[in-house]
Amino acid sequence: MAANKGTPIGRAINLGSAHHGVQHWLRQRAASGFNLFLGLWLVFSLLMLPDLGYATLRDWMDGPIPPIALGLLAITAAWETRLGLQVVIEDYLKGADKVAALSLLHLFAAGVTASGLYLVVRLIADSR
Amino acid sequence: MLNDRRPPRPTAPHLMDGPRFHWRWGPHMLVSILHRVSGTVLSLAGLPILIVWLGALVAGPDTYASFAGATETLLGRFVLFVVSWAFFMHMLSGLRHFVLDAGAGYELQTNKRWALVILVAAPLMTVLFWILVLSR
Repeated sequence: MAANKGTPIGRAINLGSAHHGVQHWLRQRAASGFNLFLGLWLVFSLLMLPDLGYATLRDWMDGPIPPIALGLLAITAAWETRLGLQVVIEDYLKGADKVAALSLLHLFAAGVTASGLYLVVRLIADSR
Repeated sequence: MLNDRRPPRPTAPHLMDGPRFHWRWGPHMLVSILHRVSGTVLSLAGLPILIVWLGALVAGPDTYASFAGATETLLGRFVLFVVSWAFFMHMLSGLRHFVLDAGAGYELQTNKRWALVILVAAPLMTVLFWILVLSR
C-alpha cells in the first residue's frame, strides 16, 4: 500500500487528527480538578479533627461525607495516576519496557480503585 | 550520499550537547520537573499509604495502633513529610498549569516569578501543615 512508503512524517501528513489527544488532555484536567477539591477536603478534615486516633477516625467515618468523599478520591486519584504516569512512561520508556510499565500502571490504578472502594464499604458496614 | 555525512538528528527530549547539558536551570524548569516528581510521589507513595491507612482503620484498633506507630518512626515521618510536600507542590504547580492552559503567564518575567513563588510556597505550606498536625 502506498501509505506504508516514505518517511514517518510523510505517512502521517494529511491524515488529520487521530482524535485521541484532546480526550486525554481533558480527562487529565477533569481528574486533577476533582483531586484538587477532594485532596484539600481531606487535608482540612484531618486538621480539624481533635486527634487522629482510632476512635476519633471511626466516629468521623460514621458521617455521610467522609466515606463518599474517600470513595470518590479512590476513583479520581487512581484515574489521575493512570493518566499522569502514562505520559511519564511514554516519555522515558520505549518498546517492550513501555508496554510492560503501562500494563503494571493499569493494574496498579485498578487495584487502588477496587481496594479503596472495598475498604470504604467495609468502614460503612462495620459502623454502628 | 549527502545523508551519510550529517550528524544524527536530535531526538526529543533533546537535553545533551555531547557530554554537556545545552541549557541552564531556571525556576520554571525546576517547577516543571518537580511537577512530575511530586505527581509520581503522590501516585506511588501517597495512594498506597492512603489505602493502607483505610485498611488499618477497617482491621481494628490494634492494627491501627501499629500503623500509627510506624508513622511516628523516623522513616515514617520522613516518608509522610515528603508525601505532604508532594501534595502541596503538585497542587500549586497544577494550579500553575491551569493558568498556562488558559494561555496566560507565559511572559518571561511573570513565568519566572510564579515559578519562584511556588518553589518557596510549597515547603512553607508543608512546614505549616506539620506545625498544625504536631501542635494539637
